[in-house]
Amino acid sequence: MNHRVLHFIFLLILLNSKFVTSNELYPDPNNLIDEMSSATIDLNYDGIFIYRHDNKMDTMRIIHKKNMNGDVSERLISLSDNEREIIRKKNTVKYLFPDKKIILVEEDSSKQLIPTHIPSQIKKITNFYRFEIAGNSRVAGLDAWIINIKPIDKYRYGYQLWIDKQSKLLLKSKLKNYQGMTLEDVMFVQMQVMSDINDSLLEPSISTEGFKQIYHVNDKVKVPSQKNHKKKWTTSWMPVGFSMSKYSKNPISTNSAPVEHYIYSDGLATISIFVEKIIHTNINNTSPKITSFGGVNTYSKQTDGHQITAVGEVPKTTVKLIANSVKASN
Amino acid sequence: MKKQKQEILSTLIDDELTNNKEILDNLISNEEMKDTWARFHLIGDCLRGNLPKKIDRNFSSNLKKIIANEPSLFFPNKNYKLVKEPIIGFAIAASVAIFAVLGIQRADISPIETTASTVHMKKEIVDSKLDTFSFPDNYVAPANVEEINEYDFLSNQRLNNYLINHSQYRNDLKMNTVLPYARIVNIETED
Repeated sequence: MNHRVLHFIFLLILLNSKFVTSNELYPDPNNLIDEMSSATIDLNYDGIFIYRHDNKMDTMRIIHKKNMNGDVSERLISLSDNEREIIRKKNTVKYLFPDKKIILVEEDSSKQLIPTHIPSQIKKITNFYRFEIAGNSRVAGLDAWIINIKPIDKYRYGYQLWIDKQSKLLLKSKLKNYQGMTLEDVMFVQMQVMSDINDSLLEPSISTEGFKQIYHVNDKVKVPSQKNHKKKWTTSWMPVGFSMSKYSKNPISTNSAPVEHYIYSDGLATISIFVEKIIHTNINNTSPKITSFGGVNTYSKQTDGHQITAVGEVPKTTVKLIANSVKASN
Repeated sequence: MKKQKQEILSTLIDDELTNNKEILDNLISNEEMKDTWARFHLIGDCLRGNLPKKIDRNFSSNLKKIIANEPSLFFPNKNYKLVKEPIIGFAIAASVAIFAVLGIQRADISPIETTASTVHMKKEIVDSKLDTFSFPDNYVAPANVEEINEYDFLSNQRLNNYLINHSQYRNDLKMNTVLPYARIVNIETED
């Protein structure tokens, strides 16, 4: 009798352990992306990654620190080609270009204007993309989950992500078109999560003596409101799920001609529409043009005396259809 | 004799011949061998599933147009002059980049509605090649929306500015899946 009871208990333990293992093995992909989102901001880490696009490959090092007061500091170092660094502290980003002896300083006062009207981001995204756990693998010596994010239609791209099982940091990502072809990918070859990062690691290693400093304060970003924002330009076509999330005027300080910038998003992909008044000296070519940079496609055309350019991490068809649908509203 | 030639071609396609010059010379001058060569490649592509869903009959003439428009390596056409320096380099990139990677704005995240804290891995997913990102088979490739003469590179300052601005706002939204600014590394500009 005791023998049978022992067998029964042993069987229960086995079954229980199987469920636990199952739970550990197959997390909910939405939760995993949520955790990754937190980890990329909240953790301190130092990693080296490769960014591959078209026929080019760049190697970079990223050092990320979240200070006690919640501010984020980061330093990005180019490890291939030109020696360049980018330092970000709170809302100030400094770009150091030793080859040109230039420091470009960007101050973005719009951080507090991060749109709050976008309701439940992940919930929204799941309307237009399907999330699946595709298995597990190893990246940079770390065990990772693989998540497939598949678009519901051909007007947007899909993603494949490798997320560290322990830290939940993103270790690898691929941007894929509807046919499954990889357009660009990012992969960490080394990743260290640290309890703290010495501030000296966030200082530039390049001497900036004699560098010319160029300041650009971006304070023109607005969150559109249906009540007080009268849009001069309208789009008659946009893939389902995309809505306008931001608008800014003259975002390009170096431009002589006025430029309007409309930003649309479906929660994951972003599309910008730039409208620039044509002055005879600034735009000569009148034929529509399309081009690609890794996963970013642009389509440019002229209408009503303005240059319309759609830019986004979406297929060429999408940027072309959007740009062609832009019209001046009466 | 014909069979022997076919075997030689097959070996050549498999890249297992060491002395190819004579075979290639024969291939160029012999129409029959050229046809066999094309057929072997077609069969190979068919077996490997590499055939396109839509075959562009104008491919050859379009390719000729592209080649004709290519700048000469020795006498660069000024219209195509590209600067080797990336503009705002590599990346405002990643600064923001990395943490922004699919860093969905946390403040906007409402509790996720899931009936269970876990989901089971689908068999077809487990069985699929992990590195393959499959999409529905009923996908129909879009028509060739870009005419070949439109496929031109806008390597000017305006487009560079647009891309930088796009990346910045994209980062603001913290919805990025790949390093948005890292793309800027690739931008080339005119002097």
